[in-house]
Amino acid sequence: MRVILAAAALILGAFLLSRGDHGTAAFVWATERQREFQNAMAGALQSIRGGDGLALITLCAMSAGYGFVHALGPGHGKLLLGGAAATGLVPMRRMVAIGLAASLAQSAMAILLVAVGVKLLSLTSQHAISLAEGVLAAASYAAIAAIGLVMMLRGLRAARVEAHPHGCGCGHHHGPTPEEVARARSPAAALALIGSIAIRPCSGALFLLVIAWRFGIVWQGVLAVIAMGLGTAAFNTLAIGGGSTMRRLAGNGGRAAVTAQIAAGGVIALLAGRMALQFI
Amino acid sequence: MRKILFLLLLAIPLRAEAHPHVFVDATGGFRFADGALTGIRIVWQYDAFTTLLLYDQLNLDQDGDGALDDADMAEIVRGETVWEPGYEGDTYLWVNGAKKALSQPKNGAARMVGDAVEVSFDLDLPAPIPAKGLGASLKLYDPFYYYAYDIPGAPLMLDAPDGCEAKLIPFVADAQTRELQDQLLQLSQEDIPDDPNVGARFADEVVLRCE
Repeated sequence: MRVILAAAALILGAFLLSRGDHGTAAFVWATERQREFQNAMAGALQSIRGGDGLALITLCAMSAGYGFVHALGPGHGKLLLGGAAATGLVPMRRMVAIGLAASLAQSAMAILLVAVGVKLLSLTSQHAISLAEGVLAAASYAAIAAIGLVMMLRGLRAARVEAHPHGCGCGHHHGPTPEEVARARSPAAALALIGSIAIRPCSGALFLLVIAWRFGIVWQGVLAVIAMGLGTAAFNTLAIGGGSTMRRLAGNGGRAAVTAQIAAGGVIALLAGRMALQFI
Repeated sequence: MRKILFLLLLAIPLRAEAHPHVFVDATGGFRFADGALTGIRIVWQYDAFTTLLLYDQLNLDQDGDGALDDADMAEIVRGETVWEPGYEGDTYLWVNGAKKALSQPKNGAARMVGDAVEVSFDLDLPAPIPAKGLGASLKLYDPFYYYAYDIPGAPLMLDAPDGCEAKLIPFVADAQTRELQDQLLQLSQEDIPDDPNVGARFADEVVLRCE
């Protein structure tokens, strides 16, 4: 019952955030902050170009702030990370590490796209940005939806195992326990989580790198994009903490984990799936 | 129980599944001649970050001194006011309840305001519309909300006849503004259905009324 309540609370929260005035206010607030950070980044970039080396600190701080408030907006990985944390199948500390890796890999993807795509293959920066907003965004949503689907199916399979336990009672370990079935602890699962998020670089990071390249301050731009990734990771940690707290509210035990997994997987698959479909 | 959860999930709208990346402080205005509305004037001022991005996208500042010269300004005007077919410049005008097609930009100009690029241009109506009793609504928004337009200042009124008044209805998520917005909407554009897209939801609106 507590599981169902927690799942309902999760969905209701998402619903309110996506429709209510609170959601609108949070969104408007985040958008306003992003604009301020963005302008401050421009000032710092100009200062660095003008020879003020210390402005690099400002640039990195503003980029980290940008990454944080940008992650507050819709999309990207927090839904996936928060949902995965809500299943409680991966230890919280490991989830936070995965979230950090995902954000930094996303920064690396931006650096790769600009370095290889724009500088080596002479794509225009506009091409690189439409690639990120188009094909790569669609691939990211599709991958996230697929992971949600796998989470849900594993949960359903675990529920079936639980419903039909082996009845010999002899103490032997015949079939997998529900948690073993549901658990996604393999490095491959972690890599899938990281990859699905990282494949789509943030346009803001691309803008920053393009400007830095243009101004001949490449390594400063690279550092700032890494700082941006750390800012995003900080927000993702909040999402993971939220998911994990919800999980604890729902109580422990195999049954709760399985139900949370089915619910979280379903939410992720549906929302990310609908986003992916918009690109077709 | 699962059924209820599923239905709840379907009800979650895909709101604002986009982040704005480009911020534009815009000014909208109405242009008149001989007592008739002939078109609108638009001013876009980009945020400082996007201004720097233009250096790359329009290949500005080729001498590398950091300052933009007249040739750069001409290139900005070209880049910003030569539109691909089908692009409406995120500028939507309704007159007496009907959406109006507008011309390509004319009289384009660009300048720097502090560290921000500002572009201005005119869009003409297909034919002048007599001002008497006219109601119009101008909205500036990107349907995909990649560009976030703000209208911070008062609307421009160029050669307006007596009895015409333009008002800015800023986007504020409070009930009173909504009510005012609804009343004005009824006056000026009865036939417009709710604009379902994200950009419109966050858009400021400029409303013109002539006696």
